[in-house]
Amino acid sequence: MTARASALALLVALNAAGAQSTREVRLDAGAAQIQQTGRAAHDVAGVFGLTWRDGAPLFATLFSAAVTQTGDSTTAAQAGLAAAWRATDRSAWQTEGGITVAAFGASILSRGGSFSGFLRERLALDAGGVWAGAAYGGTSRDNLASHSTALDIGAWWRSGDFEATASVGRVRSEDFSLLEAAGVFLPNGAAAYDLTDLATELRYEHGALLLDATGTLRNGARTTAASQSSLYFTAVWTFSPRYSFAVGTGRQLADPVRGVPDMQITSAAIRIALVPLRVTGSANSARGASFATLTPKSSGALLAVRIVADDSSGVELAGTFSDWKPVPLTRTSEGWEAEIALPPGRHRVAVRINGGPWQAPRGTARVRDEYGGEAGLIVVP
Amino acid sequence: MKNTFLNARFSAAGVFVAAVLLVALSGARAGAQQETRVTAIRDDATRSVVIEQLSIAKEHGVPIEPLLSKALEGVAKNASSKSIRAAMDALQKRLRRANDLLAPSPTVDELSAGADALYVGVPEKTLKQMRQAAPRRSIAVELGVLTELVARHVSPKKASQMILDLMARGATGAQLTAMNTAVQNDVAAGLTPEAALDRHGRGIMSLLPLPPAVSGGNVRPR
Repeated sequence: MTARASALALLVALNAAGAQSTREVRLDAGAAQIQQTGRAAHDVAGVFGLTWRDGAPLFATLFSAAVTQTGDSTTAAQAGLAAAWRATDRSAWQTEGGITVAAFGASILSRGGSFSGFLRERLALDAGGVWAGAAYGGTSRDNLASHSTALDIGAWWRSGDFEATASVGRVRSEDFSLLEAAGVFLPNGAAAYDLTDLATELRYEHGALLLDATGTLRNGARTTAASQSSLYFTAVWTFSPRYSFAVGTGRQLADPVRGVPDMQITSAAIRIALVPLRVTGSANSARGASFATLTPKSSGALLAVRIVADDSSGVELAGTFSDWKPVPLTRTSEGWEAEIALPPGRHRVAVRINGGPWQAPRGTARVRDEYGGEAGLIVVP
Repeated sequence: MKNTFLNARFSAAGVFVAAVLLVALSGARAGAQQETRVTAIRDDATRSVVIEQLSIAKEHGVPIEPLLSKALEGVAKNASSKSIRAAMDALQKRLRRANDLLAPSPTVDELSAGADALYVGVPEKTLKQMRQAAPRRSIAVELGVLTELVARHVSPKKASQMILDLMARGATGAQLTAMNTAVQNDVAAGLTPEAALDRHGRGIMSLLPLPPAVSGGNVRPR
């Protein structure tokens, strides 16, 4: 039961991690109302999650841990480590892999733990892509061990602020107690469950708002008798670089690979960025946290540069517009900002944090500068 | 009548002299400004390198401004005098090459944009074709947009073809920079750079008239 809630926290963390692209450390704290399928009682749980993420362009890592505590002393803890790798920043292929471990205990219900791992290969094609992956999970519940495997293929497509995803997965599992509790049955003598999942997801992200709807159709295969469906909705509102508010409601089907039971869940959480989009001076993280936008004027353009960096940072902008003399950015409540009027022509600009290396702000075309660093190109008509 | 004629001649001569003086003064002023910028370089070794490189450039008729800007970029980035010399030397070679490719009379902006284009890997042939496509106007913006596209990882061949096609259809600099911004936004949203260029390049193309050979000369005035 509670493992599902912790899985939710992990899911929220993973989703949010994908939405941004630099280093951060974040805390999720919230509450969820959970009703496990086949159980009349509604449990109220506190959910706490910690996420560390480093979104370097070639090698991205994510660590997430969550603890769930309900009123009846049931607890669960779950931790996940995932990484994504690609050979070059122009490569269309990306390999992802990860592991999760979970421990759960209850005074009356089950106690035990689970381990799972996955490997996935993604191929990006134009506005979307395809993937194929495999996962393995083992669960020990009240000293009964079970194993599950899953294969899935899927595709995603992005258009404007929308992204649609569809996948087909095949799951084979020996986790009788989990799946029977979820209403999935086997005839006598069958050794394992076989399930086919068809999952779709529609995601909309615009400005500070993220909306997500996920639907799953599950049918039994071979001798397994099952016909289930679920819908889950998530909304996240990021009202400042440091704070977001996330709500979710719906049903999530049992996940035998990770040992997570079938449940109806409604949750709300506040997300606090302990280290919001932290900039450490390395090229990748600084690029991820600096944003340059160009607004055309009647003659020339207005270049606005915004950088999210911690309070102790000193941030400077330089370029051909200033004869490469550094111009300090102004501290604001959400970071550092500068607005520069650029005349028509071609310009080169770069930013640096705490006297670190000069880098091209995100939003500009990046070139190597022949001095071991980089510069951003801007053309003003 | 005669007085009027003489007055007109004198006033025309006056305007001419004033214009010559103005040009000379502005040239002298620009030269003085450049000198001030050079002398402001604190490191003696670097300053010597910059003076030496600018002298070589003057001898070869290579524009000074892009070289000085490159040197100042190196100074701001704490580059060694050796690195600054290498960067200025390489840029000087690219400027000379751009001068050949963008002949007969490229502007300083065009030369600088051409040198940047060559630096990111735009084929030399493209610069020639762009000049042929627009022999009597500046193509600095077109070169700048092309350079940005290649820097965003659009293949030089594809980016060159798109810019040449758009130039043939009479796309304005503002349209090209708008396309460039749209490509950047799409890339940030996850589209591959080439797909983004296809999408927005074709979008702009659809708003433009066909080239003269196809449309029978019905080209929209720029």
